[in-house]
Amino acid sequence: MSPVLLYAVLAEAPAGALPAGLAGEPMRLVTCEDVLAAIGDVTSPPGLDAASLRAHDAAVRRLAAASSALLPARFGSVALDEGQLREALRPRLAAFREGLRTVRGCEQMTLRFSRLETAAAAETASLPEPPAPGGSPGTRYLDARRASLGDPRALPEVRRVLDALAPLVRGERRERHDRPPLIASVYHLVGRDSLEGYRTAVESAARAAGVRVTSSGPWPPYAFAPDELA
Amino acid sequence: MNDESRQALIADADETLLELVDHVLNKGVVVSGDVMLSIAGVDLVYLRLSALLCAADRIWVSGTKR
Repeated sequence: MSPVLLYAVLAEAPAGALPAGLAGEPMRLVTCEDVLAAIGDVTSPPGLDAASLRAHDAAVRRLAAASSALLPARFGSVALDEGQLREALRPRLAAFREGLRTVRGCEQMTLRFSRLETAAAAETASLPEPPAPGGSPGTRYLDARRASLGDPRALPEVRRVLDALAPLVRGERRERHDRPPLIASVYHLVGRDSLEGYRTAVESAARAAGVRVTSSGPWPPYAFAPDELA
Repeated sequence: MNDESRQALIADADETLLELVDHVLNKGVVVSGDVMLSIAGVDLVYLRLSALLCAADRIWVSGTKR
């Protein structure tokens, strides 16, 4: 039994040789029906530190650069062995197939919306109660907290920017934040051939809407992986 | 990860690292890593993430964002 670290789920094998993994270990592919998983053999879960996070992202980016459809794994997703990995993946194959279709040919761009200083309001949503014992309390708490904040499209300046970008966007995920001036994060799937136009459109839409928008990317489509398997 | 190393991670955080934390930890396919990183049913991955993101928001608010 040998622990494996999951890097990504893919629709097909990447072009060329597989990159090295987080710790320099050789990456390899395992098959689960028609879906592939890119994994590395490890002795323990990676430590949660800046160097490991960067190394994980770099490994996923190398994979993504050689792939047309890839769903990144969350950092530190470790299975006890290949058998356990397949068991964990199998119930979600339909969701993976749909996710892989969605992200094919796309990159993720991330937008952070901040109110301009003159428009900043002391707006703080009330937080949900701490989680009850049992189940996955951390997951439930964060889900409840997100739900309590609502959809950032309710904010007119955010909605104006999103509407202007819509023709260039193939997928969108939105989160509202309760710590002004940061008011929202929006994750977009953008076709690889549309990235330059997208960046230009973000700048002009933000100016027109009177909101500060910082974009980052392209990223592997972290925000568009199916929900966790727990 | 102990408190000391977590504080070190946050203290050293620049905008790029904060973006990285959000992307690499906030979503993505998860298998049983959470199980191995949990104690007594408390999912440490999520709790760590929550702490880090709260810190990220504070740093953004404090004006270090370019």
